[in-house]
Amino acid sequence: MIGPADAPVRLEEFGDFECPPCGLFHPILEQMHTEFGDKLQITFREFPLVPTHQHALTAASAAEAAGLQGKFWPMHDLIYEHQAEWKKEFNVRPIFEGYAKQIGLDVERYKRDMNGDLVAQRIMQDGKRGHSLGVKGTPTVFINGRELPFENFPAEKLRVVIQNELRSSR
Amino acid sequence: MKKLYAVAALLSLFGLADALYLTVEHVTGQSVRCTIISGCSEVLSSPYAVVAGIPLAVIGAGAYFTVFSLAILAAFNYRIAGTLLTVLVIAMFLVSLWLIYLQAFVIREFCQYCLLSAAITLALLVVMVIVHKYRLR
Repeated sequence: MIGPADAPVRLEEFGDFECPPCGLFHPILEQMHTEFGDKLQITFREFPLVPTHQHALTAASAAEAAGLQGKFWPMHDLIYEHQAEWKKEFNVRPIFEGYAKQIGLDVERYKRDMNGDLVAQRIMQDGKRGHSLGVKGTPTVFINGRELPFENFPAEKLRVVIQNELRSSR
Repeated sequence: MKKLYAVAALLSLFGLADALYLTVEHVTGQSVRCTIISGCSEVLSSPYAVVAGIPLAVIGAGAYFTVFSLAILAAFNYRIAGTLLTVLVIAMFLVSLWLIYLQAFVIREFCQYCLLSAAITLALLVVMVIVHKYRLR
């Protein structure tokens, strides 16, 4: 989660790191975070599409393992920014370990956490929440509990939706 | 000659069905999502799938519909329709080549429905070449 817990607009994204539309949505969310700052809370939920995406679960584990050291977002950003490079590789673990080093993680701990129960539980809990909300694909985005229609994914439309939510919260 | 234009009309109907399917995918948002069942469409979710705010699939559907109309008119001896049909099919073939290039070298993923459309356009071009051979006799 990024942004304050009591932010007037809460955006929850169910994403898969190997999903190209999620990769396209990533810079849009970054832009919204920059524009709206503390007024917007962004939560990322793991929704790896297994077995459609062979590396999705490893990527989700890498991000959650980084999260255990307080570096979820830097890892999340690196994984998305380099999606096109790693998604065609056979073994992505060394690549993600490189990212772990790059963001200053304790790599040995990161490697242990990647295969640990806590990371698996976090991913499973996000998946369960997604299924309970009827999530079928990624990216699926909820704003203040309401699903964002796909046509509002472009930055200029998402901006208007957030502005409207801000207005109605006053 | 009539038979050849009928073949062109039939081919355009297959193309229209293909383009309409892609249009529905686009309109319902399936092209901008990945799902467990259908995987995801790297091609349809790319920026190249939309031209000036209009989904390429819609433009394709319009083009196939026009081909169908012109082929029917040409079959009933409207000569100008035959000429326009040739120009349109050549344009569609060139656009198809460009789209195959984008899929192969820029997006680096192939969309099977887009390839089917390219194959139909190629078949239309072949039909038009045969039509012109007949005309020259």
